[in-house]
Amino acid sequence: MDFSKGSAKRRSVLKWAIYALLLFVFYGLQTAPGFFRFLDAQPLLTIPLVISIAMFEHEIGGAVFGILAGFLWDMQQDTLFGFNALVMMCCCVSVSLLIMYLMPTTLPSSLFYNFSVLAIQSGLYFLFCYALWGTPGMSLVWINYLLPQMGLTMLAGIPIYYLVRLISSKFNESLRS
Amino acid sequence: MENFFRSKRFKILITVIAVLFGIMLYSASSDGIASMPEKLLSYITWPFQQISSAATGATTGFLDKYLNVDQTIAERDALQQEVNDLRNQMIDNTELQQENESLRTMLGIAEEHDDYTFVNASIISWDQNTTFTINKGENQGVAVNDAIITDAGLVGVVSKVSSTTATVKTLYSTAIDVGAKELNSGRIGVVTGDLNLAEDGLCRMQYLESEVSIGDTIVTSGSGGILPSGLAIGRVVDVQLERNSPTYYATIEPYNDIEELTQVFVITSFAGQDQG
Repeated sequence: MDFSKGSAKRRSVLKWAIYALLLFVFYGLQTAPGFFRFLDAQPLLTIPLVISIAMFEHEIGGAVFGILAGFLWDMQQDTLFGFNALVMMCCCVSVSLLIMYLMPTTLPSSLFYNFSVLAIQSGLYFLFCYALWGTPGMSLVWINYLLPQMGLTMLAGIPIYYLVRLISSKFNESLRS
Repeated sequence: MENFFRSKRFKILITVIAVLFGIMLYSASSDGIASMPEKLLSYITWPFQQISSAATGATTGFLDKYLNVDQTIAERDALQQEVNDLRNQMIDNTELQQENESLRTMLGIAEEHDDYTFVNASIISWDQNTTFTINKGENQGVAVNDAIITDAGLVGVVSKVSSTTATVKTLYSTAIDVGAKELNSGRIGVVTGDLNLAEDGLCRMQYLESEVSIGDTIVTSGSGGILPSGLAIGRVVDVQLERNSPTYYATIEPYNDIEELTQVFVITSFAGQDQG
């Protein structure tokens, strides 16, 4: 197929628009009351989405979507606005660089990244919101909220990885050709 | 990898990190008022949340019919028994009166407290059982520290507000402090969340200088003019002496079944507001 420069640009814009739409749809789902709820937790669909985007696209794209997902997470979690955006941006850039220089783009890598990012964020959230204040019964936050959330998010990360891989390969193939 | 750290992209990312720090500092100093990016995002996400909230509600209702048949039958039997008991006790009440009980009580509150201004709101998202988001914000007159109630009493307090949504800390949240008193004796204390108690749907009233009794009713004290006085919070189910302190704390069972709520009311203004 022969694509003109303008057509290639349009396709690139369309790809990023689809990613953005997915981000907001996933945010709507992950905040919906009762959506795959287990104990006090619901899966965070936006996190595996932006990590997969960081894996399949470049680090700047990963950073922008990491910041957006982090801002959304801040709104959902009622943390200091910008805290999760900062963490997610650093994580997504690191994921992009690791994929570029060290690790293969595979499902196990994706699961490893999802786990690492969730562990880092959960650890920081627990530290700043509970541990530093010495909140009584704070271990319950891990049992009822953070660990189930990590488990549900890891599970959700599997289909999301394949979805982003499909979108990326379809658009990047046609852009290359 | 070294090339990346020398590249223009790396410098851009460092600049973005600095901007994010600036946003964090602004948020920390803004006292619950949403920053510009937060307001913008809340506008964008609002329709997605409304649709998904409605869709999950409908799907859950549909699936529940088939997935929870045993539970539904057990609940139906228990409710049937309750209905029979109530029918015997309340022979004067008509079926219509029962159906409209909640609305009439709400109307009753409005009549009793004609100084209250209400906004009704739907819960569109939950985070743990301590925080939820409602579909009303600054545009509808909702502000930080507004009381969230139902016909049964206080549910929580608005902690953050954007143009179209507001974040609410429930009575289970350790970040909430509500001035409260025992209805009859007037003994004052502070109601707050406790993670261990929240597991069982309970919260605590602390800094009590003398004991209260099991079964006592706890209401808001209205101190500081932040919340109206006399809003029902819950009833006392246990009283203990604090460790390393001469004060008592009471375990409170809120009148609201908070985790089951889907609709709430926001008190946006009342007589005596902000008058300490």
